[in-house]
Amino acid sequence: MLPSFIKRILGRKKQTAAKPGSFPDDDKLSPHLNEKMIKLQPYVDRNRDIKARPFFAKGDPRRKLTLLYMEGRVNQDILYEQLLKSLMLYSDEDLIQGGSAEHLIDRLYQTSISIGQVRKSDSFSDTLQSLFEGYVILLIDRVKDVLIFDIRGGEHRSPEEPPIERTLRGSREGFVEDIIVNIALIRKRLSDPNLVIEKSTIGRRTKTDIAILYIDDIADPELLANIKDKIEQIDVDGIAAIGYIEQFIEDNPRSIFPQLRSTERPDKLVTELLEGKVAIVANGTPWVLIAPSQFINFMQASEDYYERIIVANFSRLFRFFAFFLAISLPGLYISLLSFHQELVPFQLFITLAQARQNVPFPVALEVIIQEVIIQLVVEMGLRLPTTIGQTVGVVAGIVLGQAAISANLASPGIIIVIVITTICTFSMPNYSMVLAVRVLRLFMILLTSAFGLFGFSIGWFLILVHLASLDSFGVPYFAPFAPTRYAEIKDSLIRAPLKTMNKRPASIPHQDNIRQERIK
Amino acid sequence: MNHRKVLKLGVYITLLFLLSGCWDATDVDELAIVMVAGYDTPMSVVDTDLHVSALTDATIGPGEVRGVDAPSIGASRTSRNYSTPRDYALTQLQLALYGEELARQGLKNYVDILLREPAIKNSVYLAIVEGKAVDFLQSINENEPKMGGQNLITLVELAPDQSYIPATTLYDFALDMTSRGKNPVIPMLRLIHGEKVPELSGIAIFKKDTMIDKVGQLESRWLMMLRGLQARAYIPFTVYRDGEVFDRGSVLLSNDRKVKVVRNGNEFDFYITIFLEGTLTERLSQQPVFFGDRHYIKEVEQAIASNTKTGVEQFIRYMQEDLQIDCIDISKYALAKWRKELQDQIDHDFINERVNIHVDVKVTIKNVGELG
Amino acid sequence: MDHSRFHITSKQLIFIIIGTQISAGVLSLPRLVAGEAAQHAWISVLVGAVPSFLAIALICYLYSRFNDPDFVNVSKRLFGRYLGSTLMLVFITYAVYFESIAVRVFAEITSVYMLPTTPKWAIVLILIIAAVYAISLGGQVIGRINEILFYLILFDLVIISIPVLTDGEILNLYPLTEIDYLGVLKGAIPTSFAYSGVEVLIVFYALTGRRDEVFKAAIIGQTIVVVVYLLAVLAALSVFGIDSIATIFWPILTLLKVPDLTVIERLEFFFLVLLGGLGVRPTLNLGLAASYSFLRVFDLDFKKYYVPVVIILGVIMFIIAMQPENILEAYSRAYYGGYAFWAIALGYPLLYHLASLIREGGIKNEPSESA
Repeated sequence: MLPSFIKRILGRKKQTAAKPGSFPDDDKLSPHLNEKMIKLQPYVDRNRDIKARPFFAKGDPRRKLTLLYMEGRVNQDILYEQLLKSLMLYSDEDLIQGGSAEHLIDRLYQTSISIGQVRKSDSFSDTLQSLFEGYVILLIDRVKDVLIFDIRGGEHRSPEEPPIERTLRGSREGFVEDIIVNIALIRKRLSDPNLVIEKSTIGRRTKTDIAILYIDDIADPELLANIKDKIEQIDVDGIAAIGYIEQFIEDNPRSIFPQLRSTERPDKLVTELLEGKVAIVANGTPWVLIAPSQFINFMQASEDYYERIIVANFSRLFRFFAFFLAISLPGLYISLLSFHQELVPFQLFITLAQARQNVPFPVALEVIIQEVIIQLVVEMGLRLPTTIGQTVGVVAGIVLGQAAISANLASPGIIIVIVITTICTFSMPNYSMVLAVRVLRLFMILLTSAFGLFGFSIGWFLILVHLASLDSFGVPYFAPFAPTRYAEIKDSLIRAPLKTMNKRPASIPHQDNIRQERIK
Repeated sequence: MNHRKVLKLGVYITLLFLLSGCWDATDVDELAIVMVAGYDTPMSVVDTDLHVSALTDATIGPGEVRGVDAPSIGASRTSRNYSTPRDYALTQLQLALYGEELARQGLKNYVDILLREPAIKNSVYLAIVEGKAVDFLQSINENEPKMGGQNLITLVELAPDQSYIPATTLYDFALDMTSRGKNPVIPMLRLIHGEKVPELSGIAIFKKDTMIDKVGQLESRWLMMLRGLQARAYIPFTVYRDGEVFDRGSVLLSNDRKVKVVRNGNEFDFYITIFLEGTLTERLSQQPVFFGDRHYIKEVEQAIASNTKTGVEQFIRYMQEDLQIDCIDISKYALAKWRKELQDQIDHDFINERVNIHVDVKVTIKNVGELG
Repeated sequence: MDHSRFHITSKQLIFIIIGTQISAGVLSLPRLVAGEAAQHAWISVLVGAVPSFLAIALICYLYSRFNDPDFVNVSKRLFGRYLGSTLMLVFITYAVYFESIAVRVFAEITSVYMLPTTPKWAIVLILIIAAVYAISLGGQVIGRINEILFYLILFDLVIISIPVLTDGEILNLYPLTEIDYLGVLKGAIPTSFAYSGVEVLIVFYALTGRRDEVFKAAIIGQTIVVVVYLLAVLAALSVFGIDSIATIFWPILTLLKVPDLTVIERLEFFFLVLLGGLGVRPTLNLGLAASYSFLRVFDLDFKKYYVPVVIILGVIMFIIAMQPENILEAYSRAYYGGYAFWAIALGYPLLYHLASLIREGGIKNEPSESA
């Protein structure tokens, strides 16, 4: 009884010990090339994209070398021209003649390899991991160590105009999937030597490269430590996109509101970094996370800062108005038509009532049906290829609406309301907020269909309470509205002239408060 | 599960549970929308029997007017719903009409339902109909089934912009009815042109809630000017030179007033200044008048002023001797100074026994139009 | 629920003081005051605020003499463990009762103006759910919510000013002389009830970050309330006059039905929609005060018990709120609540001062428990 119990515990222990992605216990590499190859063979055999290229240095059979690399992840031109060619043809004569093993590897490094990023390793696990991360491995016979080169290249998209966050007057460059390119894009715009880029990897299996960017003398150390700590705590086998990281580190994962803004515009990111925020870049996603983020950040668009003050404020106020309408318009329609008819001007009231004469459903149900249809149309538009998506979207919108009216399934009023709502929804500058708004609208529809304007009032009260309760990395999410920070009203509902924004926003903890000296 | 989750789950479930009933929801197409309501006493002697009628618009076919006999207005709604099961929606009520007979019996009990009901706005217009309100509405509905109600509302609503007839709202009436020193006035309606077209015939004068007299269109002008109800309308004038008619014409005037009160022992002297201001719109005279003839303009102003003064003084005599109430809303000026002393006396023979009213009329013609 | 989630700033204290007081009471206030003090109702509004200012001064002076000015600590120190706990439980009972009646009164108004056929329990329930959700998030959130809702009051004031501009008459406020002193005093009593809510300072004093600013903040908050009440009473008086106002149940709401505007003529709906949050606000603040004190009295773990206590509080509130049979009874209970307000807001600080006078010497030299 007892032994079996112990065995079971031990067995369980063994199971947990065998982590995915772990390596054989013997981490040492043998000096012999053959033995090294034998050890690596199981991994090479299973993966046809790993190539082994044996050759002799300077054509000397005594010096057997083997290059291991992953097809498609390395820059082949450099591989052939700078590595293979120079090793095969231009190696030093003396080098081949003799000397110790250590000597040999250093001489090779010093004389025959015209590549910048090289490192030495004697660990099997390191070697194997590097191979799968796309590095090139040079195995040398009779030498224990291996050389690891970084000539990763492969295919990546060149920076194009960001497809989602477009602006009229901003830069046309957007982030791409490659982290190196993305960091270069940021560096290009922010040449401050204090811009710190800390790299690490996330994902036990995917080993995704991520980088944390901040400006050393602006970002608050405590905030930074908090963010780093949260990222370090992520222990997952793989992440597919930066959205994973977002959900792992945000404070209230169950909230409907996005608490970390992501952007695909380097120019936008730079302004955020200058406010003391921290950016998180991950390989494989053309979006960069900004932490901490507040509600108003999701309402700010780049044009607000690029355009002149009056027009910029005009469009920003409209955006807040659109946010309000996108959540409440169908709810208001229900409460006005089903509960508080006195609020509708008389002539409009008559028109709406006549239009509803033949519709069999109550207003609330009518709204819900149309809302569901439009959600499906939107969802379909996202899935279809752009060119078809637009056409089908228009067809679905016009034809369906028209057909619904003539079939007496909907009144023209509701079609107008739903269309306006959809337009308002998509005028949000941030797509995460668009998604949140779509759900909140449904919540509002349900409340108003039970309680009319009173439900509307309670619904907004709950939304406001929820917004006020959120924190993003210790920063109140709904500031500067609640808690109110009068100084920051400058860049919330409206935007003050850039000349007057002398200090960094107080909500985001930062050092070096002065953004600019007072301009006369 | 932690407490927060339990709480949230509870909230969601309860919300869903609550949604099972949309208690107050009534769709617009299920409503009988009332734009105009009319109230009467019937021919019979039982004075609590009322007619309630509603002029509803196109939502339930062509507008319909239906009179119902019932002991009270509320009860009449139920009587009415035996034949029209649609919800009786008073939310869009714009105009309430009362028959003259009912008004002379006192309206206090019949505006109560309008004031009490939260869905009815206080800016509902009131009007008194010469004769029966129900007959009036039926006749309008027959002659103009589509727009009759809407036109009638516009007629009453815009009266002070076009003529010397006030627009009295429910609030105005209730305020004047309940406040000391105030008495309401309500426009009167009648049918002309073979009982087909509604016309604003004058003003019904109330002592608190009871109608005591009515005045015609001309007297309405003096009443409006004295009461300080702003209106904008055309006034004809005649200018005499050397005892002969020199010129006739009309001016478009808007009015205003200023009141001063001076106490003289137990007597009160009210000084009312009526300001008339406007444009010369019309001259009929063939005799040319030179440009910039200020003397001529002065003559016009004087003609209007003296004419007006005669009219209002006549009205004041009528008010003090016949009506014996304050229907020109000047007692409030005395109350504002001696409220404690006067508030119990002001509604009892105050205006006719202890008050002297002096009127001054100031006319300014600001513009003469395009012709000289 | 962390203990640190209960700290509020002194600015938020201003809004909490305002938010607890301005509630459904203001809607009927002009009738109550003008009925007694006639055109001098505004003097009553000022006089009625005296007990509240006095309460603020007494509470702040009381706490300033302690190192750890917490309701629970002070009660236990002055009255011993059992008597102190009892006193606090009485306070909690009062707070729960008062907030329940506030919910009920607001539900009645909602019922009359917006949802005439919806059962009362549904309206009360949804209000309490909203309140419980907010309270369960802790003091910091309540502070923030009070800030937002304060700005809605400003909107409401703007809405109230519209009928004054269209139909107001300054003559209704004259004559300024002929003051009826007895009437003014009689009018001050219902007004002082409308100021009830200032007693939350007893609990919120300890939660405020900067103690030195508490007095100033409370005075500012109270002054703003006085100004809001003053404007509301003057607005209703100028539009209706002293005779007409006595016939109207909620002068402030009827006031909004007066102006004859196109399209937006139903101002009372805009007002009530904005008021939605306002109606539950006293409930938020008092509910927070009650549940916070309850946990402190019994020394319960905040992380574990706060949310359940709040939910139970919600259930109790629902039961109390459903007690009155009709609107008149709800209002008469609110009126008795007013006397209880006097007892709590003035009685408690006086009692505590008395106790500390008796035990003087012993208190000041003792080191505080937490220090």
